[in-house]
Amino acid sequence: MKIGQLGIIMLALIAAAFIALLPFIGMETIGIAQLFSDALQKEIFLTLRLPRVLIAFAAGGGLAVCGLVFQGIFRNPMADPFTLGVASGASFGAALTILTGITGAFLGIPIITLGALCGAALSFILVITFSSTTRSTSSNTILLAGIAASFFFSSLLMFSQYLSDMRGTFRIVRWLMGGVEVFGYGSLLSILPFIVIGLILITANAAALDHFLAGEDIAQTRGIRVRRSRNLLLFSATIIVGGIVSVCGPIGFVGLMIPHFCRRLFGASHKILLPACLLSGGIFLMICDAFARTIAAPTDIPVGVITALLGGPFLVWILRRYRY
Amino acid sequence: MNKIEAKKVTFSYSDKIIIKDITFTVGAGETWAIIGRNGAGKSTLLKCLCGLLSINKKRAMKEKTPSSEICHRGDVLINNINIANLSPRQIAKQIAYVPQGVGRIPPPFTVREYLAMARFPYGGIWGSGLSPDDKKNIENALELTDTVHLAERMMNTLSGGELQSAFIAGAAAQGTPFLLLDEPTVHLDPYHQENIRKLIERMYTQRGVSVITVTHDVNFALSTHNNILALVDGETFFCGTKKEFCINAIGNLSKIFSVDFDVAECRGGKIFYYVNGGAV
Repeated sequence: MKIGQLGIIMLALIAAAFIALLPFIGMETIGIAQLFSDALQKEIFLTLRLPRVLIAFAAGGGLAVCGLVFQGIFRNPMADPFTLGVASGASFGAALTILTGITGAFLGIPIITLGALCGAALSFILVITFSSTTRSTSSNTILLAGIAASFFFSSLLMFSQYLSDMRGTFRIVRWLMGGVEVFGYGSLLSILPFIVIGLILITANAAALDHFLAGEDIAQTRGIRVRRSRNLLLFSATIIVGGIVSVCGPIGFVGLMIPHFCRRLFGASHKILLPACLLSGGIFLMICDAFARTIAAPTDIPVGVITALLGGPFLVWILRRYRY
Repeated sequence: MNKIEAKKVTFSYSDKIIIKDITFTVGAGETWAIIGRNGAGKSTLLKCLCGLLSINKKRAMKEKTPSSEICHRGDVLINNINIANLSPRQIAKQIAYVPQGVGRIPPPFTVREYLAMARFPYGGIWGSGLSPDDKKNIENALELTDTVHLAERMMNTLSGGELQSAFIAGAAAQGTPFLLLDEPTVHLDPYHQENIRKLIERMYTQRGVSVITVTHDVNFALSTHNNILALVDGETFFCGTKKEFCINAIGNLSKIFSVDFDVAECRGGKIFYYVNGGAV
């Protein structure tokens, strides 16, 4: 327990250090002296680099926590926002708003975020309805339903791309690669409420996640309201994924890999795993984005390309001697 | 003072009635064995007693069980309060349940972590840290179930017998007046069966816990429990004390299990066995 808390503090320090240092790195490195002397560099630092690093941290952390929640609820090491179709649904919803060219905001929430949230919710409802009509509680059924939904929405996405013009298609393809390029703090502020509310709800149900690992019957006889906890957890993960995908596009692999990495280091207790995943996921995506900005400078490589490129071999390396 | 009452408990899936009109009362410190053939409704009854299966129509509808297909009747009362009116936490402070261990994936925790999880009903919403009382209960449960040496081991590295002890230790840490066990010895070797048997005895002799065990091991049922509830095709065949049951034990057992039973004298006691075609 004590080692776990120490590890969290370490991770928090590392995350803070990266948030402070990574904005200096980019197409051109900014020196500390320049920050105070050069107005243009200061502008780049404050309105481009810093928000970008912050959003990478928030997105990486959020996706990792959602992966952890999905893996815990379904007791399946392959569950993540993508295998469950939530991310594909969100992508389709967001892509539709890009294609139709509707912009603006509703109740202060950008239309694209709303589109992504609706898509995520739609896909999620489809999966849950399907798996409850079969009356099978097996996590494999839900996962299969998720994969079906994922393909379904991918097809819809391709279809809508095919129908649109060159410019629309290019914008969607680029968006689908995932990226954290933002201007200013608007996007961060628009998705922060979803992430914060989701995280609070998930933290309140951390004990339920632990108990799900022991089985739903044991969970219920230990005093967990199984159905309510599961619905709250799934709802929270859905709004987090919807919010993140609307800004960053579908960034793959973080949600799958980081929970396995953290379990290897911190054990299975979700009280420790939740902050560990939040911090590790954030750190991982910040590093990936730093690579994305610099590796082929002055070109910006989409960060979604980097996550799987770095993450794939890393996951295999973690899994060598590990069973979930 | 503490008691669980089942009153005319009836439960069915689709058109198949699993248990019908079961009525019995478990008082403080009593030990009950529920015996019967596979599919007689033993486990279903146990799940109704701890609220895992709800026989309350309103709640069944709320939980979207297709109510038209289901025939639920009767009441389960814990200390005179209907279980349908109790929250999961309130039930968890009264009843601990150990499901069948066969085929269950061991949770990826150490035994001590698993026991700490059992204290959930006593914590706050945020599941704050363990109180001194929680810690005392965990240590007691480890000692009582003789699992102190396993405390820091991961559950998924334990053998079948050790795992079953750990599951029961988890239920003991819950600190409830009632303990429900579903086939606790079914897949264990004689040594570990004996271990579990002694453990159950300690639960009610040292802690005064009422134990309800589902089993089809007749010698385990009769040696360790003072009361017997025998089910045949979901209906009560016998409900009473062990003494009453043993007046015509062979006849009763033969009817319950539909095979011929016989008895042998052994160390001043009796051992029941069924007469199969393949005697050595």
